[in-house]
Amino acid sequence: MIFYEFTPEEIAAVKSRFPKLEYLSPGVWKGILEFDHVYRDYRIIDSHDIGIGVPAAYPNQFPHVSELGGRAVKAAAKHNKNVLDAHWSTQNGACLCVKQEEKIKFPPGSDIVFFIENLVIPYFYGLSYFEEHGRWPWREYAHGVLGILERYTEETEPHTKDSLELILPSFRDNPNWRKYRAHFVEPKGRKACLCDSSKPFSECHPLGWRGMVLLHDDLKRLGLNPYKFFSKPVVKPKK
Amino acid sequence: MTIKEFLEGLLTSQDLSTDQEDALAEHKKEVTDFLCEEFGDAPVIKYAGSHAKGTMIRESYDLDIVCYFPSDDTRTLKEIRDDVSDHLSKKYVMEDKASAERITNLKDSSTPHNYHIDVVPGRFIEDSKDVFIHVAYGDKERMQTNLKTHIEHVADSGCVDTIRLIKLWNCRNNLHVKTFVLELFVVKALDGSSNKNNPKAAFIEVMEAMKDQFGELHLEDPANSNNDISQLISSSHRVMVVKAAEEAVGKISESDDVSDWKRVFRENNDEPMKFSAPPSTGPSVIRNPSGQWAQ
Repeated sequence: MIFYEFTPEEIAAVKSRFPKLEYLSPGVWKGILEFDHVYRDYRIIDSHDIGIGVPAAYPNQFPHVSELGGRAVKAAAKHNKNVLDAHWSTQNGACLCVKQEEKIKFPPGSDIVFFIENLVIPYFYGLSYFEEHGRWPWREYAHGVLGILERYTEETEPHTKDSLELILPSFRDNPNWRKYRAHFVEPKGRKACLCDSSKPFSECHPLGWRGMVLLHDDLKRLGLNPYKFFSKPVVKPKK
Repeated sequence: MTIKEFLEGLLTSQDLSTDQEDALAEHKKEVTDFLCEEFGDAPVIKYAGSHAKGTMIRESYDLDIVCYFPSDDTRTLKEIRDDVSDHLSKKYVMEDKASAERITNLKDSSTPHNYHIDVVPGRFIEDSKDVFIHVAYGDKERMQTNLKTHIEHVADSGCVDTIRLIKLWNCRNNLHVKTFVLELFVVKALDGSSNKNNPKAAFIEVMEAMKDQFGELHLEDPANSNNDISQLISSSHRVMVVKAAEEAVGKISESDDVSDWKRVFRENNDEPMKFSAPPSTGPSVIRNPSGQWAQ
């Protein structure tokens, strides 16, 4: 992976605001993130051992944020929950926001200090809260692409082909992509939910189901053929 | 100056000025009228919080107004809260709190108007003075409580002066402990105490209790023992309060020197009633966080 190289000015800005974060190598920050934040009158003073890997495509691609102290895993275990409930995974690190919100929460022109203050600190505040109470302090979306569908119900602007192109790859990459494709062609609420429970989709994840219907309508309105987006991958014949 | 005189002076300095009282009354009327424009005379709108309990301090005050709808209102508590918030948002800049909608300023105004108003929407429970309020935080989505019980519990406790001193200490030390928690804590700490009328001894007694008990805080809502008020304070915040209380006790518990008391209240010894630098800038506020997701 190629990392983004910060300028001395950018490094100084981070160091002055977060003195315990070290710039280890190009694009890589590591150290202690201290914060004293309040959300709805609930104050948390804490620090977390973190790492931030900033890809070369930054700021068009989100940095990868890791919790290095093992607290996300321990917090989930303490409350008998899946580590995904701490919005953390080994592969993807900390999930700072749902896909569609990336541009809203980190608008073009924002710098890395803005990123840490507006996305990283709230995440770790949430993790500290989760550690204590076993739940997140603010609203959560379902894990995986179901969360993207839930967020889809909140869109206020009509989608375009370009905006759909940003989120459709997430469905393509999902192991259940065939099931999603079937719903994109013809949504069926009575079919088993895509979270792999045996409950009907419309009852198990009603908001996700509503998002699916809306996404289906948008695909239709924009003349996008789901088979084109979710076609069976071509298997190259073995030589 | 004796310590007693110093504490009495502090209390007097924290009375709201006539102008501040008038501004609060004017803002309360304005907000009440604005709510009535939308909801008619259905809701009961009245003073609550520290104004009703007599524990307000000049350096940090909010006016709590309850807006309770009748028990036969068919909306859910969240819908009631959203309706109140949506309506207030047409005129004011709002911030949502755990169970209140905070008015911070007039919309489209470039100058601050010092509203200091929290509106607490709720719904009466049938044949009762109890209410359900919506809680957007914590274990439950709704909380059953009783405003009158809260007011009486604090106002009739004999601890009002001590509460005001503790609130001032909390404010000047940037501790940001919720007022309701402080009020309940002081009443509990001084329950049965003979020091209630002795501001110096009462303050030390509460500080000692804070040092020893705040870390393992357990406070019940006097109107509903099922509501655990201590959940409103995080463990890290408790540690910070305990440390501040330890520091205060260390300075004043065996001191008859008024300058030690001034330090606890962060006053400049050479220039009485002016503050020394606060210990920290206080917490930053998280506003409108992203809905959390996991890939």
